[in-house]
Amino acid sequence: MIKAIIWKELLQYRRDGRILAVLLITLALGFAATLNSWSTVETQQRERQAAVASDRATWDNQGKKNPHSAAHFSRYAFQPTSSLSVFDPGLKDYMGSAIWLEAHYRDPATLRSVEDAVEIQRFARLTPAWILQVFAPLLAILLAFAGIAAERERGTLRQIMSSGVPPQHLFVGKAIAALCIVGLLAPSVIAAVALAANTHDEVGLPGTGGRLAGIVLSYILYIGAFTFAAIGISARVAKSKTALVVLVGFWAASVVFVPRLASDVGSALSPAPSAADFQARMSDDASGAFWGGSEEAQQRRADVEANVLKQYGVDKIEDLPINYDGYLLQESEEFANGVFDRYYDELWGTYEAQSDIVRLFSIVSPTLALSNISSALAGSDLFAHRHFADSAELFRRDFVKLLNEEMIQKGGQDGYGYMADNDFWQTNPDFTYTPPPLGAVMSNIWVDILVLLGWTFAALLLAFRGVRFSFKQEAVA
Amino acid sequence: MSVQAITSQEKKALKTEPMQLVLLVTFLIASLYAVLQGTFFRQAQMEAITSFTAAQEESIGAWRDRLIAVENGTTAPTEDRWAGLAMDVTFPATISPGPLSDLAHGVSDVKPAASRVSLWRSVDRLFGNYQFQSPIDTAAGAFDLAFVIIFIMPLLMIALSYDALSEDRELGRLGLLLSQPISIRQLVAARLKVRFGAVAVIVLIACLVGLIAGSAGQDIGARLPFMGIWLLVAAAYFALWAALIAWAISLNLKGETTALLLAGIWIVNGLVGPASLSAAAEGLYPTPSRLAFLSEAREASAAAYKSQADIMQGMLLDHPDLTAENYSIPEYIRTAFLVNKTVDDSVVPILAKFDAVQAERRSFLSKLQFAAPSVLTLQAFNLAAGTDLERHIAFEKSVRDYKQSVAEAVEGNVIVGERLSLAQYDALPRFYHQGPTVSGALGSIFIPVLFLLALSTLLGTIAHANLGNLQNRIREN
Amino acid sequence: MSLTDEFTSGQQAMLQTTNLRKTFDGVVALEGLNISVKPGETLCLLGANGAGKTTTINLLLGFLEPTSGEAFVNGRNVAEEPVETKRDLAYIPEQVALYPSLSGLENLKYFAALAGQDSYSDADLYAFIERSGLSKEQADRSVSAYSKGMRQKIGVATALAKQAKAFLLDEPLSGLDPSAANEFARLAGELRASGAAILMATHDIFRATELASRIGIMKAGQLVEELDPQALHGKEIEAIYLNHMRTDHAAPAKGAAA
Ligand SMILES: Nc1ncnc2c1ncn2[C@@H]1O[C@H](COP(=O)(O)OP(=O)(O)O)[C@@H](O)[C@H]1O
Ligand SMILES: [Mg+2]
Repeated sequence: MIKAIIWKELLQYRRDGRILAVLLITLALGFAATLNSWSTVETQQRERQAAVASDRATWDNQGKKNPHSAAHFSRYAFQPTSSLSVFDPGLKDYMGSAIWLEAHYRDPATLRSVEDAVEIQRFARLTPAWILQVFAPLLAILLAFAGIAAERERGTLRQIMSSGVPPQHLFVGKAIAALCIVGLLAPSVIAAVALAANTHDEVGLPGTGGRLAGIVLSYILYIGAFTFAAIGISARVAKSKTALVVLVGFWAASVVFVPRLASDVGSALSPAPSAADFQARMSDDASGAFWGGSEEAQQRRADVEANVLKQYGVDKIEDLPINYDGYLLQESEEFANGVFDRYYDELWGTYEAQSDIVRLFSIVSPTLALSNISSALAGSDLFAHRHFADSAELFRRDFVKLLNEEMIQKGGQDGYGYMADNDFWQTNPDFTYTPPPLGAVMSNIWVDILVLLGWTFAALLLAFRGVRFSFKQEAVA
Repeated sequence: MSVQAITSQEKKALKTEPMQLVLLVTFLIASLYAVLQGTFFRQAQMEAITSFTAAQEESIGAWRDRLIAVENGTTAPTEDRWAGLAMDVTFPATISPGPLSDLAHGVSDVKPAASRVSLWRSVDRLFGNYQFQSPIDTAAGAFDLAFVIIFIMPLLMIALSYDALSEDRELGRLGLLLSQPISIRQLVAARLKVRFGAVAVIVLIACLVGLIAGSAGQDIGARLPFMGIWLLVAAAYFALWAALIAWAISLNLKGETTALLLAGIWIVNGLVGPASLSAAAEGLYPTPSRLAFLSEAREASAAAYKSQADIMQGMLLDHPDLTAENYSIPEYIRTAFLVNKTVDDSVVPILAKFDAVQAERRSFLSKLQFAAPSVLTLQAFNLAAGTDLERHIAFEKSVRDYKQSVAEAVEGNVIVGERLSLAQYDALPRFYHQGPTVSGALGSIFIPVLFLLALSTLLGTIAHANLGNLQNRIREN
Repeated sequence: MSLTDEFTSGQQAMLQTTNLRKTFDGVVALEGLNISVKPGETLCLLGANGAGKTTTINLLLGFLEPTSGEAFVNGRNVAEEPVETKRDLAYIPEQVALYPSLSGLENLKYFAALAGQDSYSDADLYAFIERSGLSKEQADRSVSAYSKGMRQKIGVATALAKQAKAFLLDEPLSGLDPSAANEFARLAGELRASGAAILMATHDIFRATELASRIGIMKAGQLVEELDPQALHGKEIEAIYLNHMRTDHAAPAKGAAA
């Protein structure tokens, strides 16, 4: 019986030119998006490789230089682009890709792709994930909006009922048929995955298989939610055109309107600090409070001096077996690091509060829940970026310390006059980055997963009860 | 039933039909939200610029006072050897918020708006660290009035009116209606006038509220002409949709099919079009790599550092009038100047390439924008609002040029290590960046608006003719 | 004891209702209806709009739950075994609803499969179609261009394919042109001859006279009289029917017992 329903639905779909057209257009867009996204990721990875190599070469060959001058010049940490970004680049374009690891300061990630984008890019971005998030539900709606309403309008529902078909069978048959057609979009996803496997990913994401499975599952849930909702609405309203208008309205709200509104409300309630203000405050607290002329700063430096003298059991700086300038520099770093932690925790806190507010809106927009899950698993979300930025910061601290140690140990009385050379630079380590394991990623998106599951379940219920309701209604018609 | 009767019936329906009322009220709320958030956005922009400029002017004032003190002899030259240090001249360079940046944020939320122009910074770092905006917010795009008009308004117009003719036909009421002294044209026109009128009134209210709320006190007069231009664009886009919907209605399809057709056009216009165009523009005209740019600048800097002596020699050859013998300030200052100068010169070609690519993209999009009215309208909105990409790119370039001009003006003093005189200092150029002009904005939106209006006229004429034919066909039957 | 019981004694009724009562929010639609149709019988229900004919059919289909009383199909209680009872039933409404993008054959195949008959070959299906009076060529055409009569033939073919034992026909003749109606009548006759039990609601007294083994006159939810068309002339039946329609005081229970 269910087989017959699926057969008949598929037959009807095949003969509906609109569906064929939308399917083909979506597939074409999907392939175009895949190519586009792949070439972007490929370019980013190639550019990163080149930048990493150039950074190393420049560092190694900087010649005679004081280690602290070198720390000012320092190096860069370049965020890798994950292969799965071919599928979903997430927030990648909106977050900086290079972090300067200079002494005395913690820099934000700079060089955001969005700054080189065209104005209209922020309307819509041609990526496989976007195509699926936007067009797959649309296709599902197109397939299912008439599902029950048209049967009723035509009178076939009564005839189906007289054949003894229980409502749940009709629902299952229709849902499977619609999902089969949406499933025809799979080739564009497969293409994206195939191309993703063909990138120069130097920093492989841990648990790529699991991530991929999670992505596939979450998109199935998402498409299922829209399909079920379409059948449910179709069963509840009197006319299929009403179902269409309601569903397209819901789709537009979920896909286009609510995400913008959500982030807007998020940034209104939890505003990111103004750049000038943030920098000024942070640098006052990190540098001014140590190097400045205030009493507090002078006291701080005096304490450092007293401590080190005591530690080495000498009375004068000149008697120290180490270079005091280097020591003081390192002390200032240790002091500043605490300040950086405080400021950046606050900054990330505002972002994360925003993302929590956005998450709240996923109660009215399943697209938000899905895009969170999808970009998190693809390693292109805020968390992935923070993980990178935090790792880079830890490296910066070690690296600056290494340079300061060089001056402390070898600087002697020369201090700032002490010069290290290429032999030393060439022994300095590189920043190697390991992205977070899948478990850490999951712990960030479990709420989104629950919300998405909730959506799918609610839609299932809506559909199921809707179809039953439509049978009841039709019986007395 | 007369035209008046239809009109008054429609007006009543606007107030009494729950669906229509809910849609209109939601739209009103969304529009007002958009202008109010825009108001806050613009205020924040203004405040950031004002406080930045104030802080800069304050430190400039203090710096100048020290110079004056040395010149009048209040301070002995030996007591303040940093006073009037040529390397230390700094000036603020800011881009004023676009006159209507509250209504169309454009790219003003990601592009830098202020620079502390200093010779200590090479041009690749002129804007400092400004990338503190939340990536979540940046990625989602703004919920501004431009977004509301481009996206939500047409969907609302479709939802309100796709059924303006088919409803009566499907209920078998059309014959009855047309037996009254009223033509189909009049019937459709009367209905659309009321429904679209309500939408237009809401947009106008929002614009008005935005104009008043978003004007920081005195600048309402300056904003008014831009508002006029902005409204022209909005009106043309509105007219296009009104004509498009009338045309779709005049095809006399089933209500469901009309809704599908219009939704399809909306999607192509707002999503597929912009996504494809931006991908095409960025794919066909790729910018140079930002990472390569960074590497280049750093490599140049490292190389310049190593060969500073040669550079100095070159400088002196170029400027036989300079002598650097009685150099009294630390060597590193001159080194920094020379290194930065080298870096600035070395990145000129890459930066020129960036600008050239953006110009190519602009010219590409200025042609292809006619394929997607949403693209054309967004660009026109941004142009009229002064938040377009071109203006921001021009700003960045003029800041670089400005830095160059300051560097050239004080070069001699830095090389020689000579204090600036007050007269010399006061004669230094100040940054000036021409804001958008009314005539400029009008000129750049002229063709797009004309195109929108021509397209609406064409569609309107076809709709008119179709409805006439339909009337004849019904009469004959 | 009703006429129906006398007629059906000895053989099990295919369709039967006992004291069937249905109210919609207190409004009575059926008031203690007792009918029974045996295999090979055709019971035609005559009655004004709103008399309760469709409600009777809906109750037999199990679309509605009786307020009280029972409906039986092939001895099974409809309320208790809604799915099984539908297996024996074929339902043909005034307007047979079909899928316009499918051909007649595909529609038939679909509805037959829904009824559990999914193993027919195309040849089998064509055979049902031809038995119901459509040509192969017609069956292969999209039903969007079908006339009402052709749609009904697909309905009949579906019933044949389903191997239904009982037919519920709700005003199948209204809106058919005379020759289509004639053909439908012929089909109905064949079905009956092949042993089907037919319950047909209609306004057409003369077709009823021609087709029915018995005619039941319904009024305000009750069976007010059962007539034997063999024993009466069409004119006489019409007179009786019109008389019932005029006399709104007649107590239904008595009428049924007459
Ligand atoms: N779904 C319903 N809700 C309320 N009343 C109904 C419903 N269906 C039928 N009725 C009422 O029941 C009575 C019988 O209707 P019906 O069986 O359709 O009559 P017929 O088919 O003989 O024309 C009528 O009075 C009708 O108004
Ligand atoms: Mg009826």
